[in-house]
Amino acid sequence: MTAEIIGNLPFIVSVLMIMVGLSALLFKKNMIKMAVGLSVMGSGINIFLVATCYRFGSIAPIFTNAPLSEASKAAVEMALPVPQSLTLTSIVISLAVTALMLSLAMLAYRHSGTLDSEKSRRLKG
Amino acid sequence: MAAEIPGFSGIMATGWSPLMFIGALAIVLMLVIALRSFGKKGFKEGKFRADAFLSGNEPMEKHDVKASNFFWGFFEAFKGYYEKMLAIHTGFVNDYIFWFLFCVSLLLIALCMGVSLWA
Amino acid sequence: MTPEFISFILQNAPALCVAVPLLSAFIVPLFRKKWGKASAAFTLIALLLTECLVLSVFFSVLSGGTRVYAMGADIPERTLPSGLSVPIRIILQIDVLSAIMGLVGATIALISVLYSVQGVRDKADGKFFCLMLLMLTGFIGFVFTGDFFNIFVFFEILSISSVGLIAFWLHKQEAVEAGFKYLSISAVASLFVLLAIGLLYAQHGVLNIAAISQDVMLSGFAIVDVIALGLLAAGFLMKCGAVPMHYWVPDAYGESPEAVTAILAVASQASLYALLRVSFTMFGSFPLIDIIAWAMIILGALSLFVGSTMCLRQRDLKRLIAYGGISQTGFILVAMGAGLAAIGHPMFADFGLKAMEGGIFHMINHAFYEALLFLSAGAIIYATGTRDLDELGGLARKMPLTAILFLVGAMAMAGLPPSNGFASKILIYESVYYFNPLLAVIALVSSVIVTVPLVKAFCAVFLGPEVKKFSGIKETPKGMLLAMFLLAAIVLLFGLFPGIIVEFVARPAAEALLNWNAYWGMIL
Repeated sequence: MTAEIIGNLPFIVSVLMIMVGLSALLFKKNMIKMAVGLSVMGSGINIFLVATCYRFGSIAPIFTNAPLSEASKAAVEMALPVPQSLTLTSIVISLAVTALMLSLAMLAYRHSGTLDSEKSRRLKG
Repeated sequence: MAAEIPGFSGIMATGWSPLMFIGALAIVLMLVIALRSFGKKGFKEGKFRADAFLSGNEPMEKHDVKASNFFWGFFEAFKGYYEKMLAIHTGFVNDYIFWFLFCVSLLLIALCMGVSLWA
Repeated sequence: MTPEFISFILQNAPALCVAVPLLSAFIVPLFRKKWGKASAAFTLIALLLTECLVLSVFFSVLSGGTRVYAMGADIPERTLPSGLSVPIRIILQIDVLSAIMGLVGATIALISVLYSVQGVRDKADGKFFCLMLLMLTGFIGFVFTGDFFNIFVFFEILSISSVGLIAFWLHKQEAVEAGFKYLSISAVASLFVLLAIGLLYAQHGVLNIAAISQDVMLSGFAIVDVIALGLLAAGFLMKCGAVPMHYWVPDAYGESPEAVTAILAVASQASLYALLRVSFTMFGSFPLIDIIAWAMIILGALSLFVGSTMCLRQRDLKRLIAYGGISQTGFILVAMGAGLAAIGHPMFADFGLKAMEGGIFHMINHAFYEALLFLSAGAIIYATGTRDLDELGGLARKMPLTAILFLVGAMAMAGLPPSNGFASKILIYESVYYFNPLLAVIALVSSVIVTVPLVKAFCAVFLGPEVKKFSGIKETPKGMLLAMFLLAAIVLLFGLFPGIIVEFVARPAAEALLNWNAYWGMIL
């Protein structure tokens, strides 16, 4: 039981982070806090992606000069490279989204003098 | 004949053909022009000639109805519906995200119920 | 221009369709601010080139069937490098539906940039054209790719550049607010899509759509697939603006510059495309797909009704058109949902295929007339500086051509003959009626309701006594008129010869969606 929990810990953490991010997006009216929530949610999904590619005892997937395992003289197991590259891409994208969101929050503050998205709202209906 | 040329035929078996429609439109237009040519040649625009007859009352002054007053009766009849709809359309970002999550969870619940029924 | 060069270009056209707008997007900002005309001309040339490339891809797909293009392969058609049984390269896979979506997107981008040369103010520093080109890159990549992770990447390129364009007029508080709202909700949806992609990768170990699809349908039932399907469907339904996730649509469409709104409307069609790709090609024979079909039908019927009734309530011209657009998305969702629910049904040949043809035809038509309506609304705003229907009036005397063009767009959205909207709507009514008569009634009633606000908008803007404030205005400039004429010509031509489009484009596209074995066969 405990082994299962420890083995699945990365997934539990990622779900918790997604939940934290979503709750910030749902309940926080401050635009900066919403951006933080989105960023946390993105990190949670990145953890999920990285966790799917990990194998126990594996090394980074670099084939050049890869070490051989001592017991079987075969190559050591490597982590899957594809989700890692997905994570890298998604980090870059979430950086762009966070930066854009923060700059829009800053502009909204300049216009309305408040970061509260409900007070500065003008569009409805 | 027309039905054999691809693209010129009607798109449904029940026969909507745009070319037929254009032909009918042309006939109606010709009829309108013909009817109009029967009219009196010597018509002059004068006082009260083309005004609406409002049951003997004095003709009203011209005033234009604003767009937001159009279909007032419709909105009055559906007042309850529109009040509810406008209450939903708050324009708050948090509500937008709430509705999205609401739909995601409904869809996932429906799918999981489908799984338990199917299994 | 040797023949070898031309055949080289034609062979690599799918990759160039993405590469040309992407590279020119980063060249445009290099033009100096004074050379505003030069950057516009450069953008137009780049878009024309893209349009030609997309056209060549489109015709080769129409005549020769689905095309694949493996990025970085010595022979682009070789999708499996020697000895491998799983596609690991990034592959573009273009069937008829992707080709027609790409063509529609490239055409509308070209037309709206042509419009924006005169129609959009404060765009001197090339930022505007850069973002427009990036948006087209995202769009074409999104519809052409055969790789699931690329769908996420191009989706994000599309939405980030659209945020930049929605909030283009930073001096307006409303524009910034609309940009923030659109960004936050689309980022959440994209993260859900990414989560679903991660789940599918964890389950199947590949990212290629064809390979995932084959594994999903042949390997049987897995709960991870079900969750991924739900997340994907919800994310894409949000991005195409289905009720009750439509709140961002009027905000974003209302505040963006008009030329941008035209492309934004097409971008929402792109997410519809992704929804179809996921629900038909990837999960078509999945046991639970009926639930997704009914979700599409219910949300579509809601969109039809709420979109058209809320449209009636609007005072703002662009928000009014945006709500009309929501109700038209409902048509597509209802038609495609009916087609999806009817797969495997013995009566499918009677109404399912017709419903799908109608839905795809309506997607094409909707993109064009919505763009026409937004551009002519933009012409009104350009001339008068306001979009409040209460203030406008009597403009038909000053701008007769704009009035006619607006009327053509309004007729198409309301579904009056001989416009293209009527041709596709009648296909949808007739086929959906066999599926479920109630749905056809809802569609018909909301099509009638959506006529009313368009009549209201036309009366309020163009008819009535002359308003003193607008006594000095002139007809729309020629460049903007030309762009609108092109769209109106397409709207009327598609309405006059609907059989050609249905027979040569919509039916092959519907068949390509249904024939998932052929989709796998191209790759595996």
